[in-house]
Amino acid sequence: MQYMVLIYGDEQAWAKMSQAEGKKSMAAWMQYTQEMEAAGVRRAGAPLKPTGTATTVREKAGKIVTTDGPFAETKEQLGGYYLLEVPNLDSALEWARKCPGVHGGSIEVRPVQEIPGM
Amino acid sequence: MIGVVLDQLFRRESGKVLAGLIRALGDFELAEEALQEALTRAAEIWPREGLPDNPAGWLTTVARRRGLDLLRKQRGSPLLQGVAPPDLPAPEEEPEPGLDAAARSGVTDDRLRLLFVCCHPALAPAAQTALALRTLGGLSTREIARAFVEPEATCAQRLVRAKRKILEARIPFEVPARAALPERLEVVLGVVYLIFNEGYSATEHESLLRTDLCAEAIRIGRLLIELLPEEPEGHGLLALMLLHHARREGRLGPAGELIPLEEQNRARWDRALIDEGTALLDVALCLHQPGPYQIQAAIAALHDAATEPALTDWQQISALYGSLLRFVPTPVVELNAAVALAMARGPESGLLWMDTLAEALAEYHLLHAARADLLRRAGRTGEAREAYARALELVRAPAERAFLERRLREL
Repeated sequence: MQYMVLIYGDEQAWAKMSQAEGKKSMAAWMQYTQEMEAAGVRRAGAPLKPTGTATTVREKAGKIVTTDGPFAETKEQLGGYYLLEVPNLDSALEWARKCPGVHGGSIEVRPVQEIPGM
Repeated sequence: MIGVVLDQLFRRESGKVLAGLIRALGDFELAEEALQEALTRAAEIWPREGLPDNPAGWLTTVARRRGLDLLRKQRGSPLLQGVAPPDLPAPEEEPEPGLDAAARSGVTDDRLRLLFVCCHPALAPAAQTALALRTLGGLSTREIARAFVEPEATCAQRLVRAKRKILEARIPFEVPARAALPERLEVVLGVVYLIFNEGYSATEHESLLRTDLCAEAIRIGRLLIELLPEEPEGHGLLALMLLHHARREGRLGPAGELIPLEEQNRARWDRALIDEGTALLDVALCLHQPGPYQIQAAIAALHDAATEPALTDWQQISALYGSLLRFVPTPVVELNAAVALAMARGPESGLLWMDTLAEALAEYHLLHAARADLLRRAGRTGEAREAYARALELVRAPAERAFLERRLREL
């Protein structure tokens, strides 16, 4: 079964990291990703650029409208994701607990609704 | 007649039958529906052909067949193909247990798996208890709602939501791996104790059901220590339940009224259970990891050991409440600690402590009842009368009300 692991954190804090901290953090993420690869559970995953780069498309009064944003209004923003293939929720949660993003942030685990042909 | 037999059987066996069905079918709601249909068939067939030798086995077989039929229909429906339930194990096949010890000791009880599913941290705390009471305790939604003092619809919705999450997020039907066990066990112990307490003080229920719930909690407690022989708090919880359960015969008067500890006929206490509980507590204490259940069990053991009220070791009990407060620093535990202190050193010291709790527990009838009792012992009759009156304004359970009214009359 597939689970989406959504990584939330304070993007301001990420931006303010010193070079040494950034390097250490990157190493932790690389190692985590490699562990997933070695276990054969990672189907996809990537970090996202900050919310300042986001663009939203929605319908407004029957017209499709494109706007800048959304901007970070809450303390934590979506900063990246992994898509995992594991047997059950407990396995997915085990990976979530090991995620470097759990320190100072939060990890949301959502089962993927699998619909054939979609 | 057959209705009564069926009802009793359902209460007694539902946890076992349902747990096995949930494992076989991988779906709570489907298992419940299938069991309901099996019960309906039993109500038709049994009065005609007599009770089968193994009613629980009969129900399981019929319900499983029915459940598999329903499942095939569901899977055949194009709308539901995307949300197919987990892979079905063959009916007789045991799934891989999550814990090696389970396989080694032969404890692969479905009810234990069910308990860990019900207590999964991915479910809301209120849903965990409700689900455990529903599936393992065999309580109806209405009874659970009454126990939680909430509308039946709220409780029903909570159960539906929890069951849906178990299915759709695929919470596994297994005892967790050892690494995850401590965190998971704390919740499980809490829920088992809640089930026990629901049986122990469910004054609104008929007495049969109460005993059933206590017995079920104790049975699960036994299973837990068999599975986890090195967990001191598991032993502590079982000891605590046994040491309380031992007093059940002495606790209620002929009219169902509550009899306080110091007035109970101690000859009616169950010595065998007290011995067993005390021995379990000794095992736990040998593991040298004290915890709240062990401490509460130790307090209960000291009460049980006193052959008459005057022989109660209040010094020791007071010291144990001090330790308990380090684990559970709540006003209610403080209230108990204050009572123990008063019994050890005289009412005034307890009353002084209770004054500091007046704000936090203003609406809690037991604060006023405990104050009234200490004021009575101190000979401050006027103030005692006021405190009893306040307790009576707040008390709900009829058995407790009757007791407070009697005390007030006797002043």
